[in-house]
Amino acid sequence: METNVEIANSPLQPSIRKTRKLKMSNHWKKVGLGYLFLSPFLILFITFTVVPVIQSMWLSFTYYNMLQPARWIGLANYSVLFLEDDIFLKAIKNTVIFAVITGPVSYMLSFMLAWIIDTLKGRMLFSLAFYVPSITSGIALSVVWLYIFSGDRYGLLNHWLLNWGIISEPVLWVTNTKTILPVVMIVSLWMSMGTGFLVFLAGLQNVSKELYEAGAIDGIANKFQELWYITVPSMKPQLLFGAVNAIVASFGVFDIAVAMAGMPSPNYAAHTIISHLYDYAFIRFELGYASAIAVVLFLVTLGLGRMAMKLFSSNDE
Amino acid sequence: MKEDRSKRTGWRKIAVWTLSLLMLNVAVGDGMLSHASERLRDRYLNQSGTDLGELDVVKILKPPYGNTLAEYEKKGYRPASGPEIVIPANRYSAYGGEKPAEKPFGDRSHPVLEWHKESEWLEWTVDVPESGLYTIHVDYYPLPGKRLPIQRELSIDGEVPFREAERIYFFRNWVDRGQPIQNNQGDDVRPKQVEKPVWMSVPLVDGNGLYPQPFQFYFSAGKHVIRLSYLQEPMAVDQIRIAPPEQIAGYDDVKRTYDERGYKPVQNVNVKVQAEDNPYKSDPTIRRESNGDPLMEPASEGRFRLNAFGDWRWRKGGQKATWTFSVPESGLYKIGLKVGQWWGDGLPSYRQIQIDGKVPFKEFELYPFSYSRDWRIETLDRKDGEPLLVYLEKGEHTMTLTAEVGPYQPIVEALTVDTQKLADINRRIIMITGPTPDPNFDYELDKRVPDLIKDIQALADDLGVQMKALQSISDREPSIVNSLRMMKSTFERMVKRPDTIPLQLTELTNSQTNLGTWLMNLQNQPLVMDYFLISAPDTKWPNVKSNVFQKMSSTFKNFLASFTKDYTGIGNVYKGEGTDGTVIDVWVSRGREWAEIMKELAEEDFTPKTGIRINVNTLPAGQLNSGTVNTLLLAASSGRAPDVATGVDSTLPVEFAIRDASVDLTQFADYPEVAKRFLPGAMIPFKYKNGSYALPETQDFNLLIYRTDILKELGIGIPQTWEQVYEILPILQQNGLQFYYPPTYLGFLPFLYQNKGEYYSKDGLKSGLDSPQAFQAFTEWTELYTNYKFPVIADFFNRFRTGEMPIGVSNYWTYVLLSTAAPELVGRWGIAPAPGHLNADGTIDRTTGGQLQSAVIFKQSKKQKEAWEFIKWWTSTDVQTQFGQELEALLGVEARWNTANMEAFSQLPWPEEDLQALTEQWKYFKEQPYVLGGYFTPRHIDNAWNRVVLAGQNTRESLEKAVKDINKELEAKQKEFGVSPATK
Repeated sequence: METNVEIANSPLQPSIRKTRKLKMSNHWKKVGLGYLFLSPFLILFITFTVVPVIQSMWLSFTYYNMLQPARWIGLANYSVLFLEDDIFLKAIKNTVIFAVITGPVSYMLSFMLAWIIDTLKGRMLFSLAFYVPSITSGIALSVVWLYIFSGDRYGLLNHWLLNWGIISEPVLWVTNTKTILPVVMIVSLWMSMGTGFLVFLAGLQNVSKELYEAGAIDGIANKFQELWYITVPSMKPQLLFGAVNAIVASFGVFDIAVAMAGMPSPNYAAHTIISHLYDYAFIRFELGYASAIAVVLFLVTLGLGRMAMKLFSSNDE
Repeated sequence: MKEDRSKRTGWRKIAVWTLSLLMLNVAVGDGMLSHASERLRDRYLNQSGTDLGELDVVKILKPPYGNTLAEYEKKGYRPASGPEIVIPANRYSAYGGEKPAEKPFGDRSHPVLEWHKESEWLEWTVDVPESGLYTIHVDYYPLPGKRLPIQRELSIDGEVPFREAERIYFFRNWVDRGQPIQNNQGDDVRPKQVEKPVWMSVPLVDGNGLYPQPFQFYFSAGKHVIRLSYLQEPMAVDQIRIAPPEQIAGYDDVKRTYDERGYKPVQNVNVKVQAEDNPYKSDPTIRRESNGDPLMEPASEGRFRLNAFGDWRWRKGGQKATWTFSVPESGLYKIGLKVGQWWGDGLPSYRQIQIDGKVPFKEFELYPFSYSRDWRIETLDRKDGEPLLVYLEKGEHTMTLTAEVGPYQPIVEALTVDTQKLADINRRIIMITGPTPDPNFDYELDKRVPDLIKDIQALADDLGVQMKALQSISDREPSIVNSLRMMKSTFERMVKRPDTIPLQLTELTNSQTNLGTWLMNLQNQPLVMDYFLISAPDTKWPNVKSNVFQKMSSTFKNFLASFTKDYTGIGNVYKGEGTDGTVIDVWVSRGREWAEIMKELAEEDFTPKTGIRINVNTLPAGQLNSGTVNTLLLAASSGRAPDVATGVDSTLPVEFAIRDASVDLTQFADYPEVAKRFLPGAMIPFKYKNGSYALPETQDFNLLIYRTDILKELGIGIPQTWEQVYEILPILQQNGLQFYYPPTYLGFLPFLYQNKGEYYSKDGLKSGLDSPQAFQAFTEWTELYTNYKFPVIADFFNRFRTGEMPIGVSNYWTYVLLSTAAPELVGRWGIAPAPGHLNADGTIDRTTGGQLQSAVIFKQSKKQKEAWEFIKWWTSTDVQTQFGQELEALLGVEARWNTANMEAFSQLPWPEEDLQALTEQWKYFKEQPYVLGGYFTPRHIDNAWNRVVLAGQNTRESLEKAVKDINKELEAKQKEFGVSPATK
């Protein structure tokens, strides 16, 4: 654009134009360089995240089965979702139970563990040990857990419990509707020491040592007071990040549930929102409806994320 | 502090009291239980309505050849001397079945005996001049058959002399059809294996390579009758010769004769023969292989090159390969083989080396190739480093390498016996304690099971002996020795403290499984060979171990090649331009080997016949199942679906049909013809609205699998109906044994169909599970787990091996596993058609289903006619038979192709008695139909089962809820696709 303008201009007012152009290009230089550096991420982010999100919002108003072209049906998907689909309610219930328990527990657990490990000698080793499960494929790990929770009497847990005389016949951990959800929770807790945990570790090391010294002078008596009055307040950003992460993760639980309990799980006992979405998308081929579920999930997570931000950053900003 | 202590003692008191109360309860409860069950057993023992006569008497196994030979030695039998006795095969003294024909074969112009299946046995009478041990040689010529090794049973004077003689192998002669050609991707294409029949003169020898020397038979002076009985595959026989065993001299003696005759080492000769260069082979599964090492000849350079021979496939005893080479002058030569043996864990592999069909000296009879991670040139030498020189006349010679189990044989034999003993001990314990022993109860096993402690001790001692034997064979400690040591210490602990045995039941079971696995592993004798050298003794051979930089550069080349190479395509990839003609894309959701054979068959047979070329792409197995993120679906939605997909889950074709994405096959005029190849019951899932949308490829089935030995011991027969199953259950459970029945919805199908229920109403619009028949079926099915306490989750294969579940209904896969991976069970189990329900007319309805895999054509395809031609060709009897045979030749029995084509199925190499049970079961094959929203039926049957069995809900309520849920979904789907919902 700019070059075009320049060529079209009469040579009578070159100086003014030139300064303006210089200004513009100066500004553009400053910002443009920034965008240039940003562009690889931005392009990928837009094509692979923003566009699909918008597309799926559009799809949520259509009937689409992947094999035939999508057909506009307005709010029908949403009305079915909220008014008729009782399995969806069950999925929400499961997800909320799951999120309410694993979210905070895994959050606190990773913080406490990070805090403990931070004071230990072999920090790298411990943090690796806790971090590894979260980067390993959930499906692969579930093999191990399935052996532990096998409903066979040779399953590890059953075998012990039988040996100790606590139970008299094997418990079908991943088939019995009463035990499925707790089992899935335990496994996902074990796997949840992920990014949040690493960020906490990094954050702990960033807390200035002087603060502790100052605190000691001001009369902090023990480690817990130190934690509460110094460490936590100076780790706000990391805590926020961890919280958002934990919420998103606990609402997105799916892989582990499927690997442990199957798809669909017996009597929908481990049916989460994502399972429900998957059920509709790939078993029933109702992509439009699945998109509607995705949109709802998106809004819920977004809302909770905002809430977490309010909660953790209210004082400072 | 004081207060604290008193509190603690208080707790302790409570704990002690509770514990003792618990124990008392357990002890008393157990006592009462066993009384009650004893009466129960008495009540049922004689009333079991099953037919005892159905069970064959378990064949008492003959002693193995090793024992027989040892006995001969003990009796002082000596190898005979004197001339050999030649019996022309057509001078038989008696025959069974049809009289065999006579015809000239191969390069022998005189008429020889032609022996087909119709002649059941042949007998020859022979007059032996001198008592002693003899070997028997046979001149034979393989005749075309099912491409399997020829097998005969040998008996002398009406008796099979030892176990191995029950199955004598006569191998066919296999070669590559030519040099490998390169496809348009630059990769080698493995040439087809073809049989090249030639006259072979062989001594009778163990076909599994267990004994390196030919069998020796004892004949007293006088007349004897030798009988060969037909087991499988035809052959022509010219002569049978009875000869005194050949004595093979040691190298020292041979060397002395070299000196006496004035043989001199040759100078400046170095003959190299590439091992992959088309040797004669006894088995088509040993073949050219590819190795990526940079120093291979020829090196792979980022392509797929068939540059080696043998590899892991050349591991079974008895597999042999023969190379031809020629030397320019007469003299003494040393031999070097460029080999690798990096399998297993330190145990050497054995080969017998023959030059011109003879073992030149004792050292070559069993030559060890030790374990090493790298390629090496193995100079055939004595352990002291002196090379073993071979005298070769100028001209052509052959070298034969035969895989031998050799020194492992006695160990394998002993461990097999140990495994059986262990299984027996295990079972004797379980019969007292039950599968879930009470940890707080002292069963006094040492008193209640006679000789238990003695037997366990004997087992531990024998393991010690075998450990020593293994250690003496290998250079370093192999892991099997560790494994055996652990078992040994477990057993010794048990002997010391018999009261802990019930707690260690699992360890007994695990030991048994471990032993079984080791048994299989010990018999593996893999070896890979790049080339071999026949050289003057002073030749220096190059170093063939590639260094880090060579390896790195070759890895880098592979990495570069990965940018340009299409790894999913198989063989030639056609673009569909120019001379290619019509090209169709076929997706195969199976392993690479499957796809390769399919492609080869198509290029050989399909393309010449029709002019249609195919591109084959592999997808990970299971990707075409419904309920996964489905590649086909994604491809179809982006408009890039293939023309044909094979290996597709049976529910997918109709799912696609509903959405107008798959092709109705009934539109082709010859569809009714083609459909006749399959069982009508197998076509059910592909039908939708008068159309049919796929052809079945493979088909699973359910069978009754049982342990003959255990059932016989318990005195129960094979149940034919469920009533009879219920009758034998008390006897099984009294002995701590269980019956296995798969708990998924698949287990519901037989009950539903046998009760004459249906899944859906006639129009397919409503669930049919609200019928009284369906309710009856559901009740029976859930009662298996509620009333009869069938285990819900169990590893049937392992428990079958240990004998905890001596009988159960399972599928094809378990059957194959048992045939291939349970060596200790050989001859001790059988299969029968699954139990059924008695019809009003007295016949038994045994209807069961089985999962199918299918081939579909896509609507997006512009070449539907050609695609139809292809799946027609693919599912035809000949192609399916050949595919099955080649697959089995390549991958072994483990990969037996359970084709859905009925005729092809019966032509695969099933054991005769199994085929009977299988075909009987096939008569009753019926799968469930698939309708709009049909995926909800299995889901809610499972849910209903779960509610009844695990949550204790009322059967009727639970089933009604399921019906309601299913109907709701069916209706929703019908609305979605504009089908008028069923009238209520």
